[in-house]
Amino acid sequence: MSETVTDRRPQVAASTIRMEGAPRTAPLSPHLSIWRWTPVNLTSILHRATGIANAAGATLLAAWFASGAIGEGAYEAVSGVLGSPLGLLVLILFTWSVMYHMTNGVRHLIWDSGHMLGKAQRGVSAYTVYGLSVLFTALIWIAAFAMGGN
Amino acid sequence: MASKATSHFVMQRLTAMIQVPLVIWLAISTVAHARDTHAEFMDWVASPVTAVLLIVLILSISYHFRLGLGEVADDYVHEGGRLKLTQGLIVAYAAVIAVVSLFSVIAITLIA
Repeated sequence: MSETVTDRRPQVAASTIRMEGAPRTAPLSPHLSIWRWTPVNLTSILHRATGIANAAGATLLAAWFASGAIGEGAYEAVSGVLGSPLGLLVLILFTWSVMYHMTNGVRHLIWDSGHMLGKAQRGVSAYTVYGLSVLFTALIWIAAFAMGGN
Repeated sequence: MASKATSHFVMQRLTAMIQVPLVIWLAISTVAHARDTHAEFMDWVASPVTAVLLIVLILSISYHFRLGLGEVADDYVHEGGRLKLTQGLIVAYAAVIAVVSLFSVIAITLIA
């Protein structure tokens, strides 16, 4: 069996890719499946994925404040759900999602200011974002468990 | 602002910059208040600094994710009618989150 290495990267410019029968003339994002994955381009799709997750997670924040306003019963119920093992797991993942989107967002702001755009810096900053987002999440939850002990 | 696209770009970055210190503050505050009794929680939210920061954060976040989710829809929802519907749902979701959260924080400041 001879094995050929196929280059699966797009052979045409992204701006020329159109959905069949699409009425819009604006360029569309190519589907995720055609990219060759690297730690660096993963930061980009994770930025979107965590952005979507954070928007969904805003419901938890709204529920927390709303339960407080409704009364003690509602507040205890929401606290109970969020403090359950599944609730804590969701909150830990949500924390990482927020910390990732925040640190990578700062990376985007630095790029917008015209700094750190080189190829090597892109790689270093990608790993920095992964590291810091995990570190911040760990610090927050170590503090949370240390303070309450449950 | 020069154009809709420029305004979108500027507002996305402006809300992002507002949110960096506020999210750090919220993360630390949430750790400190995660085990509050209802009365303690009400006192915390009702304090002027907390209430003001929460209101700014809620407005900034809901506008920021409305813009961001809208971009994702622009890129991946291809059919005109479905795109309009998706954008409408995104605006509605952002509005519900903002209104519920704002109303709750303001109500707490009035109750507590």
